[in-house]
Amino acid sequence: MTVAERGRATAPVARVVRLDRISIAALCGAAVLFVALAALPFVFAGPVQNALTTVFLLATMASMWNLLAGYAGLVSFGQQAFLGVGAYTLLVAVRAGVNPFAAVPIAAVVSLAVAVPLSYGLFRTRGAYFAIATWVVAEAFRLLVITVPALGGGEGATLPPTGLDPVLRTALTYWTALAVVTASLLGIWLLLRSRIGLDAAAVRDDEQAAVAVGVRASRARRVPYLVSAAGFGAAGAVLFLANLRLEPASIFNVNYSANAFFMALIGGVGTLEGPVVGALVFYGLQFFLADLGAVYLVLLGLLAIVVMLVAPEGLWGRFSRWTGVVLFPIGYRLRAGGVHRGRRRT
Amino acid sequence: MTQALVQGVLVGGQYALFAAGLSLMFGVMRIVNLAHGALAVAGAYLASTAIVTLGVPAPLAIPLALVVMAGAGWGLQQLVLERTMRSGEFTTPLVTFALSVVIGNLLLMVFGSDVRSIALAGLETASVPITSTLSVGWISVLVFVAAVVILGGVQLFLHRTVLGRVVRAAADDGATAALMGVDHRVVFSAVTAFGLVTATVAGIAFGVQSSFDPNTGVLLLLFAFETIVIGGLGSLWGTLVGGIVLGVSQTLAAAVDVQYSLLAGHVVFLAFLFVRPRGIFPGTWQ
Amino acid sequence: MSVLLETDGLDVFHGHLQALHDVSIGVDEGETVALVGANGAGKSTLLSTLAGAHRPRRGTVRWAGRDVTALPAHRRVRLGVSLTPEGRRLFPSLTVAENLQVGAWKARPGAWNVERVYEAFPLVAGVRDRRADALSGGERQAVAIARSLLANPRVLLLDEVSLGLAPVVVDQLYGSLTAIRGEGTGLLLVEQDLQRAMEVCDRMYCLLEGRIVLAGRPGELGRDEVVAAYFGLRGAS
Repeated sequence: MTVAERGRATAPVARVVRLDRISIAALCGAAVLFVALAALPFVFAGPVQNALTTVFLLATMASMWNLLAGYAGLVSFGQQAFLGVGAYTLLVAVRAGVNPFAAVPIAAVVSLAVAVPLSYGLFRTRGAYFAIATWVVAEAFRLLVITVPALGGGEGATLPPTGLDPVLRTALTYWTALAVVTASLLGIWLLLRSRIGLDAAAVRDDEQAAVAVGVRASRARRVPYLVSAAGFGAAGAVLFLANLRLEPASIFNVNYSANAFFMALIGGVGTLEGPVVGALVFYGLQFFLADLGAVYLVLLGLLAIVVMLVAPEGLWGRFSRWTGVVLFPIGYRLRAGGVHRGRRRT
Repeated sequence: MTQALVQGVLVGGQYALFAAGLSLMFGVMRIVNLAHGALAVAGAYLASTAIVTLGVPAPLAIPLALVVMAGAGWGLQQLVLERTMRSGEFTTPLVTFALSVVIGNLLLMVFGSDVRSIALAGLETASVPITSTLSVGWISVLVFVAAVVILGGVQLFLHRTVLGRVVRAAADDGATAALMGVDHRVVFSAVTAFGLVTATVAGIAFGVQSSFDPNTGVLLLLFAFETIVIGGLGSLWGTLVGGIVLGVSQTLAAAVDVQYSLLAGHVVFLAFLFVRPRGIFPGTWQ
Repeated sequence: MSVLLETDGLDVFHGHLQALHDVSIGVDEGETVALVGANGAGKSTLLSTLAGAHRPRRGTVRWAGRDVTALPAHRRVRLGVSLTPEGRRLFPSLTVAENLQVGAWKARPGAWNVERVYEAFPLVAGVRDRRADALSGGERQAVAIARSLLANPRVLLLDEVSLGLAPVVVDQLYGSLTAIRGEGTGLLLVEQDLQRAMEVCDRMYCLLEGRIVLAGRPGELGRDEVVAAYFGLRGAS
């Protein structure tokens, strides 16, 4: 027996585990949920579909904001810029004759393309300066759009008639929103499990150290930024589809970023499940308190402040830490184990 | 063209006044207070309500509003910022951002979204003719002068008085300053209070010259931030220069087409941020 | 000679790490007390606690018999306690003269003022208009001591007088210390150089891993005894 063989035979091997039983169960559960949600329009009528469409979009925005802030360490108050880019791209595409629902991926791609040059400029800044710069960029986009009469100027634009039966249109919008949120969550999960996700977390934690071990810091930041832009672009396009109307002051409103921030924060920044939890809480607050006007926003803001001061990990983060439960794990965990029959699992 | 230029310079004074508080808080406490704009507007609402609803005459209402806002600043530091400053570098911007949302929506709930203005017995439209083709608004000149006086005053205070040196010492090293009898919480609270007072003055001036609504705070914050970035954190005079550059960019663009006014300001800001992020007068804050 | 500054059973923690165990020391009016010990023994922590920059978990700090354990740092200057912190900690954006002004801000009435300080510390006088971050090590230390002196303390706490400085400079500083002692100011100084410490003090304490392992007058303690205590060698104390 060689030394290596003897070593392998006698040393206990620690297994690196990426998915445990809970996560596999959660994945199966998610698949079932997806099928159920896809079938929903056949059971429930328009208003329920519209409500869920809103929830899906909120979850998308919260998750995409979280991707940037929680994983890449970039706080942005300007993601609404891409909501607008996506929405206006949809407008242009539909006017050019493209099927409105097929135009959503186009909106995502165009948002990503716009984000590329922006990232080169924005990444020269950090921290609060980066946050404000993104906000100003969104404002600049808004002001730019207002000067273009073809896009409706300050008055805004209406979605050209689709010629579809309203019930079908609502269902198609719902399915598109479901597709967007599913693709977003899946995409974020896979991205973060990949090398880039690890790099991004490393850069977020300590850039110097990360670069010292060979991490390409700019790529580690840029990819999450581009993905986030694409996500917001798709969300903006669907928003337009759902509302049928598009106004610059509305789509480029900083409240979208603020709300995404609140949702991610309350649910738990830096976890995958957190923003979804936050979106549900947000929608719940909005639903129950909408009659009272701006109150729910005041409450939300105060809740966010309390969370930041008292429980920075958010609701899901706290739960996850207490119970050790991670439904959709991103990291690598070691499980101490005995010799594993000759074959090492990694 | 000259009219636009002069207008821009005067507006720049107002922006510098807005930015002064933000700049001071960053220089002394190394924090970014994103609630600055919302608080300035809240102060304007305070003054406006006192004048219109309570019938308090303006010369009394305005100082009253300033006193209240000074107290609010003191409270903000003691209750909120002390905690956020110890928490992490992102906490203060994020908490103050949430605070700005809370304040903006509270104002919306209480005052509605109607636009309003502060009237000062006609002073707001009075103008001073300079040449046959050029005239400037009284208020604009007043605000510009106030900006210069305040900025200069703060600069003098910080660099020529013992108390100013104590403040700078607390800014450099609060723990060591404590060993010399300096209660840094008092210093920081005073700085925050002062920052809010200057912001409120600027907010009220804004309210007199044009109109405001609960959302104006957002705009004011962006202007203040842009002023600081353009001018640089090197000195308070840099803030004045930054304000002027921003103001002139806006008024010159407005002369071409009103629509381009704000956009021009944003573009200039972004250009500075991407090309010369430390501003016109870079250097450590003094 | 009455005890001016004393501690009783101090337990001080840095987070979960206990830095001081049951430490009881005292400084009399006008006395010079040396605090020696290896790195990490807890000397700076003890001085910080005396100055109020650090709160003990257990034990008391008393000033002239009065319990001041809970008194915050910025109120102790008025009592007559002044600390020159480890690392000097000058205010970098202020000039030397401005640093001194801040030191004198809450000063008690007494013999020390800016002119006298310039006399006693020629190093400081030479750089009075220079920014504090543009000084050499020796100049910094002199300015730091001068700054704490301007508060006219009854007890001056000096952390690491000679660390990192050339012997010539240290000689100068110790020369200035003589002037301070001459005023009747009490001194509690942390000193890594055993020789100097024993030469200059009236009494000394030796700290090891947060505990007082030796206390007494330098004349009564043998050098070997002190060295053994310093390093924690068996047979000490």
